[in-house]
Amino acid sequence: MEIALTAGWTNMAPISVAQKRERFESIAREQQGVLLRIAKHYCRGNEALAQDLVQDALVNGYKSYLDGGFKDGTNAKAWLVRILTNLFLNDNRRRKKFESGAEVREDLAASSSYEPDATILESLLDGPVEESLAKLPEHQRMCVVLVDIEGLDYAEAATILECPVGTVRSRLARGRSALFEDLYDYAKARGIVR
Amino acid sequence: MMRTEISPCWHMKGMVQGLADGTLRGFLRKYATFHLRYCERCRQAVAGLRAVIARLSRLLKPAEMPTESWSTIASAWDDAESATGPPPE
Repeated sequence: MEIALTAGWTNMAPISVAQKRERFESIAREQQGVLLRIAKHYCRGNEALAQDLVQDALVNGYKSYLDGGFKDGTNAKAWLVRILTNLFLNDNRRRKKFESGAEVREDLAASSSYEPDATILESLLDGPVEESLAKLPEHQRMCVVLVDIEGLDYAEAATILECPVGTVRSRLARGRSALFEDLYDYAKARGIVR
Repeated sequence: MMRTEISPCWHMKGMVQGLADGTLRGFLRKYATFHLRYCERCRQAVAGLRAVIARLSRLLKPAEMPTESWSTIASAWDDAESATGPPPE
């Protein structure tokens, strides 16, 4: 079945739906790991919800792809992460379920001073780190996940989150600081540091 | 003494983040690096942030969608193709 040219294909020969399907599937399989990892952090570790979110993102992504919403050769990762992020932000059901307990840790700065070594964080297992990450307010968590875990630059994260780069920078600063304090609290409570 | 919170000097608040993740460039980087030579408090802030960033980067692990999800996705893609349909003559 031949389809009409769309905005993303203006300089190319018409391609069939089957070819589009093949191209998109290749992109989807390449990016699914990144999407799932990000979704898990967005959903605070809930694997099932994260998989649902990725599934929805790949379906919405394909619809958009068929409509010419993506130009081959541009940043597929950023495009799909943006779809995933918008889905997550727009899905009240997912959000409400995971918003409880996401209050900012105002009490973190009140901890007493001691002398832990910064390298102590290296010895922590993933569990406590992921738990601390899950405690961050949603927008801070998203910035930390995109920039510090997935390695996107500030501009890419800003595009995905549809906010200015300065906002990414400030959310990141607050998120990192809160994580540092929370992880040291954790380490102190377990006697890892005195 | 290592601080348990990230609290750099007021004029360094934006810059310690950039120093920690390598995004601070040019004159500001020189200014901040110079300041760090003499300021234990800001050195600790940068060290703490670097530790957080390094630890977070270790959460980057392979993830894989379950095989059964792909068949659901494929059906949804089929539906999307049907909805698109051929262009009008």
